[in-house]
Amino acid sequence: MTSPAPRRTTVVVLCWNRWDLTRRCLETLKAHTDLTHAEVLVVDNGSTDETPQRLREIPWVRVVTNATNLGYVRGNNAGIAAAPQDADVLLLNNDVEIHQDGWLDALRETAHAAPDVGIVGCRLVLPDGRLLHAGTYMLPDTFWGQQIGALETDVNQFARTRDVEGIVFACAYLKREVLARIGGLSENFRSYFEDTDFCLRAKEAGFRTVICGAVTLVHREHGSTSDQPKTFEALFQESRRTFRRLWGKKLEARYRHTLSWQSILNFPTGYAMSCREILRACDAEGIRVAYTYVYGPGTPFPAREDDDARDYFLNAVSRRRSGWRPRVSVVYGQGDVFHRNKGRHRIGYTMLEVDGFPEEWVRQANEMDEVWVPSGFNRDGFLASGLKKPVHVMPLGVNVDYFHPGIRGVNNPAGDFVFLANFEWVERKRADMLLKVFNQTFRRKDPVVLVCKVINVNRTTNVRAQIEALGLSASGGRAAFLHNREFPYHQLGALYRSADCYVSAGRGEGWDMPLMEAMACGLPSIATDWGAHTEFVHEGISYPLRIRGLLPADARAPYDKGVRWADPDPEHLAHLFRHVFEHREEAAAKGGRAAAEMAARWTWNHAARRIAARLDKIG
Amino acid sequence: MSDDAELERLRVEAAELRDLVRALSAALARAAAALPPEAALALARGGDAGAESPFQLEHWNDTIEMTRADVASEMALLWKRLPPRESP
Repeated sequence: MTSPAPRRTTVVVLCWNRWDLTRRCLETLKAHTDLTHAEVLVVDNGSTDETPQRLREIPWVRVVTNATNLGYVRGNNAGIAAAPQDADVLLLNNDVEIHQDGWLDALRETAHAAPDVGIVGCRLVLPDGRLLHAGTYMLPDTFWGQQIGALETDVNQFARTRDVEGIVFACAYLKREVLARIGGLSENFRSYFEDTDFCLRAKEAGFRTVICGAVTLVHREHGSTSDQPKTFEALFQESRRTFRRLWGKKLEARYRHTLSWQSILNFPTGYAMSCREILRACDAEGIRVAYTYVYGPGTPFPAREDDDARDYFLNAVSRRRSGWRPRVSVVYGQGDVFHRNKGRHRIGYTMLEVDGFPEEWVRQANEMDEVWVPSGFNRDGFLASGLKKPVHVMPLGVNVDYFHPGIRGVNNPAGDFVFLANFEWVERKRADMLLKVFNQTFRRKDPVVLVCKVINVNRTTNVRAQIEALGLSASGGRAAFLHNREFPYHQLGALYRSADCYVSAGRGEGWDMPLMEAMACGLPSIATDWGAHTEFVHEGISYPLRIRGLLPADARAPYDKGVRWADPDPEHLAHLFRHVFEHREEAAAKGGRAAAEMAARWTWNHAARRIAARLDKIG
Repeated sequence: MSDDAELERLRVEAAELRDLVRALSAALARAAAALPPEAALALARGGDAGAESPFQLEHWNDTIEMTRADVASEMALLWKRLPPRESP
């Protein structure tokens, strides 16, 4: 049986002067597009340069000429009106270039993959290679649309097909069903905000807006008004006022919960990094979160926090006011700051890498209305330590747009098999064992290397001296170090994808975000078979590292007193190193299963859904 | 063996050793000239982390401050500085 022919698509290219841009757009379009099921329609918005004459010379382009410049919205609507009434429409700015074969087919297939998909956008990058757009969002705090992923180094993040609130219409595939239902672009706008308005109207009519991450086009961003600041400002503000009037109340109404979130945001710590992700995911889940810094003078971490998160969304969330006594407040941090919770319903959310909790943490936890921990491991530890209040397991997650197997790594040109570990240089992480075992398991002639991304912020610790003191063999396995390097979060996936296997051989973890990130990137992993991460790690997707038993936790951290952590087995680690090195296909398959499981079960959206469900119950 | 004969043997041996040292120095100079500047400097300093180390410590920065960096450039540099694999 043959499949039905794809629906025809009219590609509408709106232009006004700047023939150089239009020419480049059309040339790249012709070179990379199968036009069997498509036509190209150029709307000339009253150009006064050579555009009209040049367009007449191109036989494969249909031209609609407007006598004067009607602006972006009416110009595009003229193109939509001129398209056959049974065809889909793809709006394409004339400052977009196409360098990818099959791009139109991919957008069309995405649009027709489900009846409720109405609008499809794609990744846009700048000519210098930086990502510009992977969808948009609009906060009712500011009514200033933001592009997801803007100006990030492109490592192929946001590569999947996913739902978004809106897209920029520099490239927008509009299914005929949507146009039939809601018409063209709203002429309440002359330019700007009409794209978000269209997506929101489509949503009200039951259609989703999605990004097809498999398609990437180049956007030169030479909009005809953005090159003229005064015109841009006037048009933008006029459209913004219109948008606020039309959508203000509806955007506010998307929140079904409000939540005060007291935590840490602008430091390179695990709590801070995960906090950023939780806030974003909660917003997408309909939770209006107001953030305040929980540490500072008078707390165990007296440093003041920078006001600027270098992120539009997080800055907006930080400027929200939650009031003197918010109805529900979560302190997300160590248990010794739970007492700073200012809510009427008080929640303490914490984790720890040992089998119990310090007395002071338990005392403060017992002053909460309820306690959240990410794992059953920590729930059991809290209860065994004397927690009397309800405790809920609220797992953390992973950002599968930044961490997935399609992220581009930087491969070792020598072709060595690469083990990677990413850790802070503290006793718990057993770096000494890791290095010794690796050095003894392999020979220098073996095509294998251990890369350690190491952080040390303790003045009394000399990492280099400690490595030298290990007395490692010059003829043993080789290692290399990335010391105190802070990588942009969106690039971290490239670090994992530069390796073949991830190793986490510490004594215990409160969650182990790097392990989860590496697994989401499709790496096989060797991980100590004890600790909170056993919540998401199992033999089907990882290589559990046996432990010899439990030991008193003997570290400099005061909260480790009187509790235990694991004693990972170095002989088993040596065995696993060798096994993975010699069974690469088996290991790669485990890595693939790990990535699939992380995406299916452990995203931040899953985490936020659990938070929303809990808030539903709290009422 | 007389003292004179022993002395002569030692003189010859010393001359041979001096020649060997000269040859080694020349070979080392040639090798150093072919090395990247940082590696040549590390070799000249000698000591703890020479070219024989299987661990890349010669570029270690002892600061406790974090340095912002891009993954692509750091990894490219790391692969370049990786201690060479020993011939099997």
